[in-house]
This record gives sequence, structure tokens and C-alpha cells, in this order.
Amino acid sequence: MNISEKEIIKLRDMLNTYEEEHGTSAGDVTESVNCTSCAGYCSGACNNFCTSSCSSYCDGSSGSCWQSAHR
Amino acid sequence: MLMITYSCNLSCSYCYESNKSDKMMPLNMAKSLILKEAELVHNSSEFDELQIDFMGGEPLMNFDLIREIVEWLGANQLSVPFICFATTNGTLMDDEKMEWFRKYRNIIWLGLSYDGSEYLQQINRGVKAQIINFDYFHDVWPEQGFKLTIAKESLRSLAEVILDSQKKGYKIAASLAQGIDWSDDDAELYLEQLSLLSVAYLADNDLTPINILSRAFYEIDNPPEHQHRYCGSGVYMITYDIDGTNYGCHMFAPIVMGEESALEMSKIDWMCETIADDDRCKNCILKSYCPTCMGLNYHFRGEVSKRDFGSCKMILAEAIASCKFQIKVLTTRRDSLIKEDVSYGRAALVAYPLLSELSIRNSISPFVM
Ligand code: SF4
Ligand code: SF4
Repeated sequence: MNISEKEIIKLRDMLNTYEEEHGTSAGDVTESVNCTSCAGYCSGACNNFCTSSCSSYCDGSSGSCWQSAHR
Repeated sequence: MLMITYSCNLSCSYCYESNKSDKMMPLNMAKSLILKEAELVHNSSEFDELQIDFMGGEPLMNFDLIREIVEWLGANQLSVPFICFATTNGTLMDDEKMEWFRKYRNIIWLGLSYDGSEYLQQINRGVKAQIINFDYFHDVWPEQGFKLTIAKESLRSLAEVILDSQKKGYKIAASLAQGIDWSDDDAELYLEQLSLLSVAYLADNDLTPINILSRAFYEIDNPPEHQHRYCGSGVYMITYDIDGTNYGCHMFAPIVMGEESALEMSKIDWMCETIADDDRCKNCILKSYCPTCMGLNYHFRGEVSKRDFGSCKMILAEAIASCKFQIKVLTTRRDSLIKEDVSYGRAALVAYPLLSELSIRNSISPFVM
């Protein structure tokens, strides 16, 4: 799967437009780093299922989770 | 987390618990530990609920204790909101247990750990997949994902196995088996399979992208001085062993480490800023992206910070595939972007040119620009 220069430019434009329209900076992904129960950041190495148990309890309110943002 | 049994009915090829035995946690101890933790949560300004994880071994080897505890909690309630959880291999379920778990589904959740296909289940776990009632788990806890461990043998059919399960409506969370010496061929195959998955997700919006393709890129062009922690071991989570001794997580307990090397909670400063710093990874652009499990580091390499260099190329494969996927999928959302998409998109755009310079065969970890 390859990404073309055109796609990069398109995405960059989309993000710029979004930020212009919404006035604020989109926020910082690193805010989510400290989440200890999120599928996106948990190593899941432990096999202790935290990778997916979080999805049962997380209400997505932190807004940082890619999974819940998938529409 | 309560280690309620050291016993398991299977011997999976990638299992790291090498000190199993028939030891069990006594019921009274489990009850008093739960009350103690509930009290701590009750008096805490930081925590507002208690998650009680039953861990083994295979937790259902001590089903009697689970039943007693859950019924006791159901009848008495705690002073704080709580939920019970256990990961199971699913092979010990019978009609009676199924009925019981269905009845108490609001108090206890079960997460199923499996290998994805009948063939893999057979070779990795030595057990037939047919004896697991997948639909039951999905029906009782539809929001709960199944946990899929990616072993070497799983790579060739990974995309197919994941998509098959997702198309049945199962939620899947996958992660790499640990302590494996992955080869460049494995990493290339992995990348190929992740690309197949990406294509399938781009073609079908109803499928939720697997967690491996969904991890955000952050700080890739500017790795932080100290490694972020990836889990709450020793801080948000405490593990009580069968005899009540506490550990940061089960990985440090004797079932994994043996009596000699077990590392009790008090013997390590969990709040230390540098706890997860591995000097070798200091300048790796994947430092924040690459997961690190302090428990497995300690188990396999003797130090909580010492990462698994046998997985670097696999992590690189994940990074390359996710970055491309995230860029592709976000460009399809022109009219439906949300704030988080913008964070993800910005991070992926920063990562893309850096990752384009790297290749599975020619790059050597740490991946430094
Ligand atoms: S140290 Fe590893 S095994 Fe323990 S909770 Fe963290 S990720 Fe899981
Ligand atoms: S060098 Fe390997 S283990 Fe270290 S951060 Fe990079 S990919 Fe991860």
C-alpha cells in the first residue's frame, strides 16, 4: 500500500481547514500517553487483556481513543 | 488483581508462566483484600472505582472462589463502584458455568483469549477450537473483545483470521507473543498481512480497525527524555498473589519469575521517572510508539526497563503499516473529521517521511535518523 504526494497534501489541507474552521489547535496526542487503560497505548504484552477490557469500561470521554473515534 | 490459582489446564507454546502448581488463594483472603482495596478507593481522591481482576493460571480452575466472591459482592455491594473481570481460555466452560455467568454478567465480565483459527488453536494450545463456545462469549459480553496473541505460526494467515472473526461481529484486540526472536522474514510477512488488513478496512467502514493499526504516533520526531509507561503496573494496579504478597503485576510474581527472582511491590520504586528508560532506545524514533512491558522485560532480560530487541522489526512493520493506514483512512473523512482525527493526522504526517526512510531489511534498530 503506497501513499502518494497527493494524499499527503490532501490530508494536510483537510487538517488545516479543520483547524481554521474550528478556531483551535486540534490538541495534543501526547495528552493520551498517560492513559493506562487504552487499547491504543497499552502494550497488551501482559496478555492480561487490558487491551480490550478497557473498551468495555471506557466511555471514550477522553476523546483520545482511535477505536471509539472510528466511524 | 487477585492471583486466585497457579493452575492451568493448558500449556500454550508462548506461555511465560513456568511455575504453575495447584496452589489456590483462600476465599477469606480474597474477600479481605477486596474490602481493603475498596476502602482505599473509597478514601481516595484519585480513584473512583475498583476493578477486580481474577488471574491465574486459568482463573476458571478456581471457579468456586469466583462464584463465592461474585455472589457475595452481588449480595453485599461495596462502598465503591466495582466490576470483576477474568481472562479465560474458554475451555472449562460447561452448561452450569455458562448459566451462572449469564446471570451475573453485570458483575463479572469474561474476556476470551484464543489464537484465531482452529489450526492455530491446536498447534499453539494443543486444544480444539470447537470446544470453545465463541458465540456464547459474544452474546453475553458483546462489548468485550477477544484477545488474540500473534505467534510465529499465526503470521501467514493473520489478516484472514482477524477479518473472519470481525465479520462475525467479534471485537478483537491483538498483540505479539513475547520473547520471540522474530526474523526479517517474519516482519515482512507481518507488514504484508497488516497491509491486507488495511485494504479490507478501507473497503468496509463497518469493520473496526484492529488495535495494532490504531496506535497514534506521537513525539516521533522528538522522543521524550524519559520513556512513558504503557501500563498502570504498581501504580493503578496492584497484584495480590495467592498468599497475599503484593506485586506490581502478575509478571513479577513467583508463577512467572519463580520464588527466587519474584520482585515484590516494595522492592521497586514504581513512581520513579526513569523506571522504563532503556538507554539503548534513547534516540529511537519509535521510542514512544513501541510498547514496553516492564514485567516481560524483567522476566526475559532481568531489568524492568530492558526492552525486547527481538521485536524491533515487528514494531517497525506495525509503524509503517499503521502510518499509511491512518493517512489513507483520514483522507476519506473530509466531511466528518473530528478533533482527535486531527491529532492523529498531524502525528501521522510527521511520522510518514521518517518511516519512509526505513525498511525492514535494511534498517537496524535503534531506528535513528
Ligand atoms: S508490566 Fe507488562 S504485564 Fe504487567 S501490567 Fe504492565 S504491560 Fe501488563
Ligand atoms: S530500538 Fe527497538 S525496542 Fe527500542 S524503541 Fe526502538 S523499536 Fe522499540
